Amino acid sequence: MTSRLIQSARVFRQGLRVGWTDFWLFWTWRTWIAAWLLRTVCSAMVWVLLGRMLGNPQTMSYLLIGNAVIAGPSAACWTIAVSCWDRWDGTYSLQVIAPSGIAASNAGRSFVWPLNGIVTSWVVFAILGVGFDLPFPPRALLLTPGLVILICLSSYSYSLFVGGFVGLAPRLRLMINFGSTNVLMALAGVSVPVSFWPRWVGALSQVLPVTHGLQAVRLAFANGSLSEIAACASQEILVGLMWLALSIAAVDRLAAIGRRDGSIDFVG
Amino acid sequence: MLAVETQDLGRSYEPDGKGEPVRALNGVNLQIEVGTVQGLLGPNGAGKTTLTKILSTALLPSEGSARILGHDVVRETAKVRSRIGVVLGGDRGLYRRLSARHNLEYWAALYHVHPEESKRRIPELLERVGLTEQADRRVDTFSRGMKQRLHLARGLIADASVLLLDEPTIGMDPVAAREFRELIKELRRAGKSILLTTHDMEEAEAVCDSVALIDKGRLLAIETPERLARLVATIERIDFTSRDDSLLGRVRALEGIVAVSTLQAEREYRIELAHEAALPHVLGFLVGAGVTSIRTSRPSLAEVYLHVIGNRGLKV
Repeated sequence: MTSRLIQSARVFRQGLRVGWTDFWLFWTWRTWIAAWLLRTVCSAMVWVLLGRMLGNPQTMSYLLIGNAVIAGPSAACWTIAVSCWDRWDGTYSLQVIAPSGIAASNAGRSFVWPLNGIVTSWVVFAILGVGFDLPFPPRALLLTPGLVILICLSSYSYSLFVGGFVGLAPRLRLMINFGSTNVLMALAGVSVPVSFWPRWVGALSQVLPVTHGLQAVRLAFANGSLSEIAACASQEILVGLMWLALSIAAVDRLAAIGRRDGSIDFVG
Repeated sequence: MLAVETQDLGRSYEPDGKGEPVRALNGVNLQIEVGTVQGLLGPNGAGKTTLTKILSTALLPSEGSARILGHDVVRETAKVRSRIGVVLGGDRGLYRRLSARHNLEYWAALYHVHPEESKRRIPELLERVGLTEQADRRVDTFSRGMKQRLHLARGLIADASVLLLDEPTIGMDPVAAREFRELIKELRRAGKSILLTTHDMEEAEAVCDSVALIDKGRLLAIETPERLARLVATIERIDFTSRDDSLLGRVRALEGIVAVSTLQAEREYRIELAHEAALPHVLGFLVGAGVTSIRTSRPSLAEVYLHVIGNRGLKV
């Protein structure tokens, strides 16, 4: 068991190197700041300005926290779009027939996106928080960075699951990517409280990433009790683990289906 | 124990998921002894890649069975995967933005090669395929032939006992292809069992202990390259030059003649004999008719291929 974990960690690290290399060939620090970060900050700022125009500081804080947090999962969801890159490179079939299987290498290659999400969310929080005088209680200052990491990781697990299916319809990858991100933005309590939605939609949001983690962040800003915050964080962890387990099962299942229907191609 | 064994192996698929099933592979029985090189020759679409995919566990057979070193490819997939190395043709299957060394490190991890072992093996493999000086260059700056050599190194990274090479010399220049053949011979001497699919006759003739001809999903013949050539060369051939046009008619009338054809050079002809016994009297007839330029020959593997499969997808 331990040796399998070590082997998987090694495969994951190698996959991460592939993803990291891809990422930094596309972005430079300058383009990342001028294009990626600036766009994300502006997009979140629109919501914060809307909140300010409403003249209610609580609404503004609500929108600022929600949109600063969601900047991370939005980036992590790019995992969905990049999930078909191995098929294009012609490496998918070779990963499937390798003794390690595909799950760890696939996860490693896309892990750069949640990392990007974590940094993006931290920076957006800092810029908008300072820019719009968001009060940072010590508890929020201490816990928010960690909670953002947790939220990005659970969103990443969700993206791995959805991304597994993108291989079946690569042409729809961007639509599925943005669609999945929009589901989180709409239902996880980012700009609209979960209680706004009908009961069944609210129930659905309970199994989505972000919902509980974001609730924990809001509690930290509202000086909620540590036990309440921990309960929400634990729920976020459980949701993340559920999506991770589903994603591993889906990746293996899809490889098995490909083996049966002949869709695992030796060429890209 | 056999390195590879298939029994009545078949694979059908429905084009576009509907209509009459197409049989990509049909009743294939193939046995590869440990430590030998088995060539698989056939035109595009003959079923070569389908067979390689089944043996490499990328595709399930519709019928029959396949075993690698005694392990069933369907039921013992994990055992099979740890015993095979796969090399694909073309320039896909590599991480283009990584260096050659990093590519090999990646695949070493996927094949569970111990880090210490991969530190030793990777430079050795790069040396073996002539990429030592390019080891730290990005793969997207490589020529197609260089990528192909890196593919080969990738396939050898796990030091697997059975190698499945699917058109491995596509895109290689003649020098690299010759070096590749030397490498195959070296691997054979090291006890590796190799299935080499190709449509390059010269390659098959140079490195294979045995060659199987495949077309439309069926194995047509499995023989040594020499014996395969003899399949249609139980007959001898006589090539001769003559300025006498009337001679051809008289030759055709002789006993034991299968065909008389015109070769590319002017006034050069080829006689194909039905049996070896016809040789002395046909030679006697030609000498008697004043023909001075005569030679006998046996067909190359390429000609056998043409004979059995027809002129489709041939590369000599």
